[in-house]
Amino acid sequence: MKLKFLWIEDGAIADYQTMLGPVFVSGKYDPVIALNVADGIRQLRQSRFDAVIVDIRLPPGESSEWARLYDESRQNKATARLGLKVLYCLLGPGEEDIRIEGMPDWVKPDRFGVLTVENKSELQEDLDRLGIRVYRQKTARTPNNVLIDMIEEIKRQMQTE
Amino acid sequence: MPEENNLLEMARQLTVFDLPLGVYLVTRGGRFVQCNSRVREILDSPGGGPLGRLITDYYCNPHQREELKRKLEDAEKQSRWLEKQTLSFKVGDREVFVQDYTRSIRDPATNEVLGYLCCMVDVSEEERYRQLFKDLPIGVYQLDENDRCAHVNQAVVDMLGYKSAKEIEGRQVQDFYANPDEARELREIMENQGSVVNKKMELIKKDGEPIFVSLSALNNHSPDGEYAGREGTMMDVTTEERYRRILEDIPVGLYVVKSLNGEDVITHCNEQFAAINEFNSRNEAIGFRVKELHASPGEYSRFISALKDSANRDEPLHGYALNVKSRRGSKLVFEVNSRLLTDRSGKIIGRAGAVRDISEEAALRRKVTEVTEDIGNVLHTYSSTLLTLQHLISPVIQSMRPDPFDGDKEMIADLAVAALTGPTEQLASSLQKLMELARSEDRSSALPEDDWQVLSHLFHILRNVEQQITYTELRPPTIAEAANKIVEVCGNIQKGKFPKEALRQVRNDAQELLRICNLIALHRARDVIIEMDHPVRALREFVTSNARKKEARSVCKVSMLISQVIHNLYGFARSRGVTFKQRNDSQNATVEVIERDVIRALGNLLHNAIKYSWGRKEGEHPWILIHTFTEKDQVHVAFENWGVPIPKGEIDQGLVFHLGYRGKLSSDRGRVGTGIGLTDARRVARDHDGDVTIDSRPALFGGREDDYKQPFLTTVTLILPVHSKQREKGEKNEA
Repeated sequence: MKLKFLWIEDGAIADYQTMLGPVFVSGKYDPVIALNVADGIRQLRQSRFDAVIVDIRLPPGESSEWARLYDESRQNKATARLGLKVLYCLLGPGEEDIRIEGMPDWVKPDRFGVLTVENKSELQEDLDRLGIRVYRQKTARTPNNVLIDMIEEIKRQMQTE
Repeated sequence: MPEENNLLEMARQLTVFDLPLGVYLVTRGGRFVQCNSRVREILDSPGGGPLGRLITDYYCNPHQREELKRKLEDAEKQSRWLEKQTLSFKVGDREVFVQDYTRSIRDPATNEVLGYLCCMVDVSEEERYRQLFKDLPIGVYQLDENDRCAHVNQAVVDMLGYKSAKEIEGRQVQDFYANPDEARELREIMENQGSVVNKKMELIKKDGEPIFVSLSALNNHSPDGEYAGREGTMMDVTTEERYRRILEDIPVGLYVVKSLNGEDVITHCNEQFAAINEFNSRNEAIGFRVKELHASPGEYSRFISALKDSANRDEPLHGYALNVKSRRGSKLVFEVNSRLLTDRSGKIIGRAGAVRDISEEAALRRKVTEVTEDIGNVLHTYSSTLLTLQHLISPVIQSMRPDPFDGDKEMIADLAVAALTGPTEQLASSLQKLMELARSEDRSSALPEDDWQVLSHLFHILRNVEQQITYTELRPPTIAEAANKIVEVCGNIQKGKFPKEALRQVRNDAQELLRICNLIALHRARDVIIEMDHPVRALREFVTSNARKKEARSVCKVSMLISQVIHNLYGFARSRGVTFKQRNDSQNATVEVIERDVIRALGNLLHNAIKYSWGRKEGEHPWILIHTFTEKDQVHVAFENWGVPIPKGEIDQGLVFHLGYRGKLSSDRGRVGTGIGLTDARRVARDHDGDVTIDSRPALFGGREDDYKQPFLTTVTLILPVHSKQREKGEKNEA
């Protein structure tokens, strides 16, 4: 049985395509790609995923609510991290900017991982509050099997719990 | 009694003219009939008998007599005489004030007025005081023992904005103070000290407006020594006091330095100046040798030279950053704005100025300069690195010939997939052959079953790549990964278990497929390098623009600037397969600009146009229209491209001009950028009194304006003023 995972990442196709090569070739995973927030939320509503990997800086997609939040947050570059807002809306301890209705029960922090260019020290406080433990930073040295690595860590984490 | 009777008899013998005050009798027309010596004394007419003049000859205002007659008539109707009328007489060169008492003498038969019997008392001295009290240009007031206003003069009335003294007199003085505590404080001072001099108090006018007065007052005492009120003067000093308070409250140090005995000494300063120089008070600062506040003698000399240089240009010194050593030894940086003071002969006698502590700002400026230089260096290194990579990649690509890709064309997914189709099929076929050759008894000894499963899976991927990988962009890396895996797994096959030819064929086909995949990756890397080259250079130019020495403006032909920009971006345009179409309706237009900046600005706009262009028709290269025209003394350089839309909201709200802002659709097809190009271009345009405008609308007729999946026609225009001489020439020709 293939592990089904969702990768919410606007650069998945254009910038990070080499990260998906090992995923397809391994034959063990069933990747679904969402290039923006609206698409990501739609996918979460539609299917159950074994793992969800989220970028921190994301475009809103076709959603006026998320677009408004995106425009507002971009006025201040320090807060222009829509992916983080999405995570708070999905998992956060009551700090939602937008209330996401109808999210299935399986949407829990232990199924989520963060893959981003942001430094861990910048995010640690948020990750702790969100309860997300799987994190990888995109750097020039990031291996192209990073997605597999993260999915396996999420899988182990869930098995442990 | 006899004595008293005798006295009465003697008094009866006296006439009214023997009374000890001025008594005179005049006809109805004012001719003197009789007067006593006191009248002569008052009117300075010694001698005896009647005065040979009319009473009106003495009136400063002769018409006043007619008014008095009317008043007398009214009084006598009420059985009274006219009393205490103050008259102003002209006696020689003097003005004499008398208080007059009058009754008429009437014909008993007809009751007709025959004349007037009057008394006069010289009140010149009292009247002068009264007049002085009334007319003094400073306020004079008197309070009674309960601090009620007993008398105020007209100046007080005017100062407080009332119509008459009556509106003020009788009211408690506290009513006129802005702050009741101040009124109580003054009363305490008066009780303790008996007087105050020039104390500044805030009062409230009738209309509620506050005013400041300078008040001097002295207590009055009753004969038994008790407080009996006070009297004093007050001057309206509202303007002075407001300025004084502004100077004290303003968070800028103000000072005057004068040369005294060869030393520059602080002669005046406000509290703020004293505070930022870490004096305990203003008084401590006054008289201090200002040279001791400068960080070093050299710093002081440089400052004086700068001050004199400015004075030679007939200008004050503005924004001079001065290193200071405060009274307590703190090292500070002040921004000084100062002007030399000279006497009437032009000799320098000192200077006046304003200082502001900019120590934190100066440290920040230093940091910004350092960071600017650092970033400049880093970006310079990036440019070099990009060039190195480009030079490293090119020979590698050459060494991997035959190259199915055009050397200058952008590596788009469709091209890559097209080039991979044949070799992928080839590898799938040879792999299929190999797997078919594997007899069941040799199969497990040649390769573990798991590896066979892997090969089977990889074969499946290669054969059905279009169904397996729906995103075209993801096929090349997946195919490359699959080919690598096949090579790896086939390397594990035990020798002698298969015909060498079949195995070699799989390896060769896999290597060929990898070669194409690697060429795709190298071409793509080269595209990214070329795309990044301009943003990195432009970013470096932008970051270091303030650190560079400001370049002079020069007159340039716009067509020359455009040619230069096209030349700079030719490589990038070629890599994207973009061509240019030029329409020049302003062949000889010139502008007076900083050439380097304007070329960078135009380059930013053209780079965007290239980056965001799509092919207009299947099989046709994308192209950009560069249209130059002149309108209302301004040259417009418009870059029109067909491709990625700019959402209306981003244009209307000016978001696209925000530093670092990348549009919602700007990362379309993996386009890279810094979000600085448009900001920089508009800044450059505005520095030259021009602007940048943007228009983006659906390219196809009838397209919805909010459908951003369709192509848009985007026009970004750099507007610059036509060079003034050319403009004048144009105007003359027109005339």
